[in-house]
Amino acid sequence: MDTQKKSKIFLNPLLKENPILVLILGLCPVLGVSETIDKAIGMGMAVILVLFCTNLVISLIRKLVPNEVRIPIYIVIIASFVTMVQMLMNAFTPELAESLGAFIPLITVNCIILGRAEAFASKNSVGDSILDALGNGFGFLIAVFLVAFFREFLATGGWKLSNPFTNSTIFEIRPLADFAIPLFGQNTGAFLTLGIIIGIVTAIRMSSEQRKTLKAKKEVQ
Amino acid sequence: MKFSMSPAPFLRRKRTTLAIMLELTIALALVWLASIIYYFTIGTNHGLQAILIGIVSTATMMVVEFLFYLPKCIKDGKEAVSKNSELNCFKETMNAMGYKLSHSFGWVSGLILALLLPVGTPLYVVLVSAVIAILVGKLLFGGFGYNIFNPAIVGRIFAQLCFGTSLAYGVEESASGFTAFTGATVTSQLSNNNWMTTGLDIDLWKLLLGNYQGTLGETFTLLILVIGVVLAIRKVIDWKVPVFYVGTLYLASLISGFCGGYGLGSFEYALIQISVGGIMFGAVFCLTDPVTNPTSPSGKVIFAVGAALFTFVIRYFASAPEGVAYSILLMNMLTPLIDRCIKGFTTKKLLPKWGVIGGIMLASMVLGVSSGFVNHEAYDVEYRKQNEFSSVIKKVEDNVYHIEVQQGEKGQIWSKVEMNVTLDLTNRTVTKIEIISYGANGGFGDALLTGGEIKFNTDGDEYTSFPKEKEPIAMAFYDKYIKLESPLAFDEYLNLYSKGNSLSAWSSEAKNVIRVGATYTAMGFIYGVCEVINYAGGAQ
Amino acid sequence: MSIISSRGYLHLKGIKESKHLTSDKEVLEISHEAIAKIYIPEVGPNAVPLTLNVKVGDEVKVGTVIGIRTDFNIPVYCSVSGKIIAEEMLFHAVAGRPVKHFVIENDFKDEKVKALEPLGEDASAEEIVEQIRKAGIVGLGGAGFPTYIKYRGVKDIDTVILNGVECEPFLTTDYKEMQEKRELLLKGATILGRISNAKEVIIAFKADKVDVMAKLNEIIADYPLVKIKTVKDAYPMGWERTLIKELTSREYDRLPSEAHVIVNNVQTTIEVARAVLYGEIMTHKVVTVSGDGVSKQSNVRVPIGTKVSSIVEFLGGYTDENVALLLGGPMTSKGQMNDGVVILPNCNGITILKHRAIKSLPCLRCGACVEHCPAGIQPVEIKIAVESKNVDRIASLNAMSCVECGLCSYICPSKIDVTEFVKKGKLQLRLQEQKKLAQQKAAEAKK
Repeated sequence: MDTQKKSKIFLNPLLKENPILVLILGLCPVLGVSETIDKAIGMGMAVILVLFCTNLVISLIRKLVPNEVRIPIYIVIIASFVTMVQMLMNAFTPELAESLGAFIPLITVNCIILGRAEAFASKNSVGDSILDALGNGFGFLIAVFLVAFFREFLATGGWKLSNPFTNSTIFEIRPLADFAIPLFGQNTGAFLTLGIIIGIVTAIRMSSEQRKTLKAKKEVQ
Repeated sequence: MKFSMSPAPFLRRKRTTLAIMLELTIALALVWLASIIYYFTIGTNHGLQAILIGIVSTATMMVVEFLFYLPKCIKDGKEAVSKNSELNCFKETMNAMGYKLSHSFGWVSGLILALLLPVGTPLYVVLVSAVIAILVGKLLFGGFGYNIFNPAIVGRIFAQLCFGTSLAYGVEESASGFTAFTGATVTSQLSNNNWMTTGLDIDLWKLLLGNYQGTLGETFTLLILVIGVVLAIRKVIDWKVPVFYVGTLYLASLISGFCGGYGLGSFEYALIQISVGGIMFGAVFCLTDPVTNPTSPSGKVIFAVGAALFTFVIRYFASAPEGVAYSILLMNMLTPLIDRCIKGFTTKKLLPKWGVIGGIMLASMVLGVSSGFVNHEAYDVEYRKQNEFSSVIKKVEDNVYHIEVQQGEKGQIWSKVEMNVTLDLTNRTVTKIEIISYGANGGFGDALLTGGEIKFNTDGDEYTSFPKEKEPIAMAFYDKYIKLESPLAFDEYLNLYSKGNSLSAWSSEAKNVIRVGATYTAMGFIYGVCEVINYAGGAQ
Repeated sequence: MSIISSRGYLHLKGIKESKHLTSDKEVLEISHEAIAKIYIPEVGPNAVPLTLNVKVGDEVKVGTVIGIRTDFNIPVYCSVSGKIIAEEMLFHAVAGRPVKHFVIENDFKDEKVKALEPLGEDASAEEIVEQIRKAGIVGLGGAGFPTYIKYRGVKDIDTVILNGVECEPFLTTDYKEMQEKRELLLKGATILGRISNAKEVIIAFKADKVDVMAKLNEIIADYPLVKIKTVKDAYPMGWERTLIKELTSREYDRLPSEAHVIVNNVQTTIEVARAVLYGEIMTHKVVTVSGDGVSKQSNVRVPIGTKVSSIVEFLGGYTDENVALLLGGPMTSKGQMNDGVVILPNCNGITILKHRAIKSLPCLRCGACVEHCPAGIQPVEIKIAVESKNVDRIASLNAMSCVECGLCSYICPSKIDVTEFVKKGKLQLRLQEQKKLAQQKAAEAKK
């Protein structure tokens, strides 16, 4: 029972309750960083790191925080970790930090982080909070990667993956560079792609739910 | 004995939506046919490209609709089979799909989109635009009857934003097939000229009949006008929308022309304004799409007049040639608002409604006035800056003068000429002209000034379209005015030159002689020689 | 200017052909088998119960009072002579459910009982109005509103319009009555004009009825108060509001008396003349039986209370297994569930059409319904408001002004039942009103 529950904490945010594609939280950074898969993976890693640290700390001090001032305390903690992460990125992955620009400090006000802190880490044990943080972080990463995958392909005709620490290209393939649609590299394309992906995911979810209710009905009969 | 319990009334008009859409399709096909014939007269490849664009656009939209509706039709087919097991599942699915496709009218948007794209559009651009047009513009909103934006216009704007440079209006044939060049269309000429027609040679009949470069469908103004009247009589489209739209634009352009100092020529000027840029096509086919229109009669008139206002603003003040498409999209966005605001009886409160309509028309007129004044002045100043010739003359030797000619502040490259002119003042003739350098590099002006062979790329490939007929004229010009096997009188040059700066201001003889495809080069050359003559005191 | 407002009417295609099915034929008299039994309902034509005057087993004659309507105090007469042999539950069209009917066995003797005394030329207006009430005359154009109420305490009327337009397809009874009873029509017109102190009485019918025009013009010189005006062939020209607007260019809010006009059907006028001048009550009705669902189409003169199924059998029966049975014209009548209904005074025709399945497409938003709505409302917007359950918007769109003429559904190219949506809208509005009233009452009760 326990392991099932724990695995659910980790697995749920990955697809079934993905914070971006299902709960539709924190879309602003998704729109901003999903131009290339490099930026997407970089941002995803940063979010996972911040989530992990903040959930850990908040869950550790959860019994000591008075209820009236909990939000400012959470924000201070999140801001501190984001600053640390930003300094680390500036030091070790300078090109990535520069291309992400203002979106790294914006992680502070990302709904996902504050939402998970408020809804989960402040009420559950440390182990569970860590699992939840990892689940949501990877869910964010999956969603952003999905959007960036299509956007980069449509905007430049291919993909480029590079090592953020050394800024060397791991691979770059651009099969359809002649037919690139630069609109998808801009904001319009971001909204379009994100909207279509959310639409497809919702359609799949609803049809699978319908199938489940039909099955349940048949079993009752 | 079964008695029907259907609701009243039990009589229905015979006209169906399908019939209306089919008539619209026939009208669009006529315009498409006209464009195919026109492009075949330019060249077979052009004509084929026109056919292909239409086919690719329509087919893509049908395929996308097919794929989009496939899951639902499969479900319907399975349901039908579960109710009556004798039926074939595949056949039932195909039946459901056939009904769905024939009542979703995707091919109409396909034809309209094809007619909105220029002939030089690469086919993959057509494909992608069609996919986005039907998917984002129609299917995602709920299919036919639920879309807010006109799908063809969405596709067109998408193509413009993403592939703007590939939308070529002319197609060049070379040995290796197609490459497109973006020559100047009438619309871009006008828009560069601040929408004033002075200084441009625009033939109204050419515009009306479609003998100019534009997108596939928008050039045939007269044909579209006739088709529009027929469609309005047969009640396929509502006559109020195109009449109010074109009428407001005509009136506003008229007022703009009056204020710009054209006098009685304003009528022709206004007619030119509504013949370019696809206004007629947009008015008859895109603006009248019933799904994206308001439903009440007064709403439709407000819609048309508002679209005219937007078109006017975008054209004159934003100088974007595609004003029609943007204004259609903007008004489509406002349609639900217009619908929401018109409540109560349609026969009451007529005065406020006419007030709103009149107000918007008045706003367009006011903008017309201001654009006339502003553009005229701005145009004058701009025109002078851009088009005035200037020169630097030095005396090299006795009777030999070195002149450098330049046009405009930034110096248009085509009219740059540097030459040595030798004069004989006593006989008043020019004895020798030596061209040192010129700006027209690799173009027709190159051949004109050097008497050389006409070649068009630096690779040496030849054009097979129009300049070939002008070759003898160019050679004759070179022989007479530049080669100078015998001295030529001053007056020969002075008679060609006049003090205006546009071709229309030059003498008619000059226009015939030098409008060979190297207009600015020839103008620069003649200006240069005449300036030398004046400088040397040879004019009388 | 009708550029931005609704045009208000539409010429229906094929309406002339539909009328020609019955307009050139003679009016048939119904056979004896069909009227062997007559059924008089024990409720009034608007389904309000009667104070009964007879019971099962009584002998009745033409002119016997069956009962008095409890709402308007007018009598309902028997149309044949015979004996009441039973009571039967038959479907009543207006009530929408089965009600008790007296079953009268017809002895075909047509023995009369004097119900009214004819009035002289110098009868006063009050006496004439009382005579109309005693004769039980109701509006024979289809609404069934008691005629005497329109003329009781009447003032400020300058025009009386007699509606012979008959804009519904297939119906030709007004036309036939105008052809045959022109003197009664003109006499009735003069009476109505006199009792309302009107300056003129206008008889209105469609411009293509030249023979009626000629016949009336022969003798109209003797009736100085009466004029004839023709109107164009459009639907719904026979509606009060459209007709008054067309003839006098006046508009009104709720009742025609606000525009100083009274409107009556031509058949009502004829009955008024018969009642006032000859003391005769209404016993028979000319009914147009038409449509492609019945073997023979014709006008039939039947006594009030004849079963519809007998009339159809008399004319050869149905042509198909699946038909739509309509009491009235095809535009406004709803389908009846069975043919056991009886002919009441305000039933002008029986239209039987073969059943056609209609598949509707999504709304094209063409606005054709808005452009032709005679009430000047926007059916398509009401449909959208009903679908989105926005009751406030339904109210702001004046859905209650709809008269259910059916023109919006007729003209829709996507074949949507737009009129049904407007009816639903009206129902939702009424429910909301009732809720509000109930809440108000509850709030007051608390106090």
